[in-house]
Amino acid sequence: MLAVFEQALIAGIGTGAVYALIAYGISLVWSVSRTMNFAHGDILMVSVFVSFVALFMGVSGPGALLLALCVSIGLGVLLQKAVFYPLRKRKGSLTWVLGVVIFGAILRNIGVALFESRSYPAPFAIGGESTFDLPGGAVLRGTYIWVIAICVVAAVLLDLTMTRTAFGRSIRAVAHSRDAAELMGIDSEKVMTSTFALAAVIGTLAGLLMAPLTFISASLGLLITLKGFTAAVLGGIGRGRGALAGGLIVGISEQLLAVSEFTAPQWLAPYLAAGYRDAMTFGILIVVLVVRPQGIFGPRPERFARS
Amino acid sequence: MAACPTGGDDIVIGVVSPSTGPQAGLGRQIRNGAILAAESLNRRGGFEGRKVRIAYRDSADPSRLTGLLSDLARRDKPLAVVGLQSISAVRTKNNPLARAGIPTLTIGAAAGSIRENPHLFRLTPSNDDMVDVLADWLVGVRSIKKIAIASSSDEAGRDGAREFTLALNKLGAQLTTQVSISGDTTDLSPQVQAMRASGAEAVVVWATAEDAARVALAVRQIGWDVQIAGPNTLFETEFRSLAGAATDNTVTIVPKIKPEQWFSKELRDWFVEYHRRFTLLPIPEQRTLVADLPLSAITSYDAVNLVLDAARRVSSDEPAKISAALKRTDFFKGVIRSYAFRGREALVASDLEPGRFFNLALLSDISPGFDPERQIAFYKIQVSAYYVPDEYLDTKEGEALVERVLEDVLTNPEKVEFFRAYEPPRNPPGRI
Repeated sequence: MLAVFEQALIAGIGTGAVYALIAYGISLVWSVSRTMNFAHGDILMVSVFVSFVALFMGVSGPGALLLALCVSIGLGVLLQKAVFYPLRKRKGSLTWVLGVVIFGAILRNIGVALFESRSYPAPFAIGGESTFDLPGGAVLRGTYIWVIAICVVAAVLLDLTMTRTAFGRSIRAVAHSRDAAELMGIDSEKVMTSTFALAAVIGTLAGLLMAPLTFISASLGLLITLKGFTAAVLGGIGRGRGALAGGLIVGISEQLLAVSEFTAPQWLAPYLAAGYRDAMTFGILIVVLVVRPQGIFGPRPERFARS
Repeated sequence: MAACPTGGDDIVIGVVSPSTGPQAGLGRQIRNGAILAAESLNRRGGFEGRKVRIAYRDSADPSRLTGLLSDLARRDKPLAVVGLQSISAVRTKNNPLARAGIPTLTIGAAAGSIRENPHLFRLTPSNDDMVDVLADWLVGVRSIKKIAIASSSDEAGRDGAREFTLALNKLGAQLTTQVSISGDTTDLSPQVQAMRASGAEAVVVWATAEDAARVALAVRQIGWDVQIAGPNTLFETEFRSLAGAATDNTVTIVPKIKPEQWFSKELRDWFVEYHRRFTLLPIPEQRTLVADLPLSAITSYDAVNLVLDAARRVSSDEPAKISAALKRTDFFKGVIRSYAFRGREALVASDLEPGRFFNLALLSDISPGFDPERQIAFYKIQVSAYYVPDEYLDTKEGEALVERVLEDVLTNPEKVEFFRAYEPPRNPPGRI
């Protein structure tokens, strides 16, 4: 069963890296606006489909990527300007939640109307069809190496952006205290708009990396948002590194649980059947949050009270 | 014709199929096939001078199905209902349709017995019959004794896996392991590794087309040379378009259809009409060269005509009389096959055979006969339905355009030559 365990670990790390990027985008929006972007997955799905159609129409790979990123930026800005900003101005009201959910639903319905609810394989490959046999018997696809490498590079670049650039510092300033940032001359609304756009770009990159690993459908956005949200909360909402850790945990636990009836001790196997998998995944989340409500990398609860 | 119990002067046929969810592809074909049948009839003057109308209900949410059927029976008063991806809501004689005596012709509902409801008909093979044919072929013909099963978590997947396990026990073969596939799992390579580690010599996939494609891809990606086989869901467009090259050498269960029926003028005309009417964008759906045939749409199209043929025979539009006439149907010629009900089943085990995908064709595995010219001709028909405007069809310009498009789709001009020189491989994959 070593091969099974190894294979699950590989698949889990690969998909977990993608979930990590998705969670990073969700965390980023939360950190500046204290809101959950429930439309995150739907924005990335639309952008991914734009790239599919562009490739089919004969646009080159880099051109299709650029187009997808431009669309994602546009949708991120639209969400912030047209939905979140006007609705959130009403203090104490939660209509912005409904607004974001409706925005996502509109995107999803447009996607389903154009592309139906069927699934599509990615019209591009990352890493070709190369495979490598591992000592335990598992097979490592070249695609996974590329996906993980790109996710790592993206995470490092994001970290550097957040810590070494003026843009990143302004995001962190607004995340820490919006009022203080305004007093320091930072246009917090501009920062929020830019953050929504950046989050959308990160999400689209994650979607494009996910496409060769699975089938893409217009209705997948909601499930992706849920997984990203789970990863973000698990890792510590608002924390970049927490999002990365949370994504990996969700990805790996999902895959290990899928084959747990084959790898677990015999006395435990009946309780780990596929039918219980989703319950187990969210059960783990609940246990973690009860023991550590701020998430794995989140700040201690008293720091929440101060900010 | 007796006094009309249906709504108004129109002849109403109810269609119930999912428009979203994992079986939306099947649902879409069922709906489109019925619409095409109604429109074709109406262009020729309708049925006995009356317009044929389709009353559609979306069955994507199973919890609302009984209410939908009740509403359909009460408001639209159909002659018959076609579709339903599951018979659980109509299995008993107390369902809204059966109480009104309305015959229900299911397409794609393989699980469960139809015996209890006297107005329930099945036009596609049952799990029981597909299991018999597939198990006999794997164990009896191919001498495979160790088999793993991968099944969807839906009713059809669970039922098929259960029946197949029982069949293996009867034939003295061993079920090495069974894995359940959940729709949201991205990569199935760990589950496939588990099947490989169990020592399986074949993998039976009893799952939706999309889940089956995931399994086929995962098997190929880990480099496992094993026979993949499954029920008729492997013939669906979605399986082949998602699995791509991994389709090659998979075995599915198909009705015994003579080669001349596959390539008849009637099928060609139907095919062109269907794609002209319903194909929105010319996106080639397949990643193999097997000609795409929307069998569920054809069956739905035939179902509408079957019902009206029964109505004509009894000179009545009362659903209960039509139901009785349907039961007595011993020959009805459809687009590519004929229908005869035995115990209200249109296809039983003796009507089925295993068919193997050989990248360019779906062949009878028992006696593969491959005619490359016919296959190319059929593929051209499909390509022309996507790309060629009416005025160019059957002209030199149309032919030239199709040849150019064929080359584009094949992405490599050398492949066209390969196509013409193609010979199916003699040996199937795996142990044999």
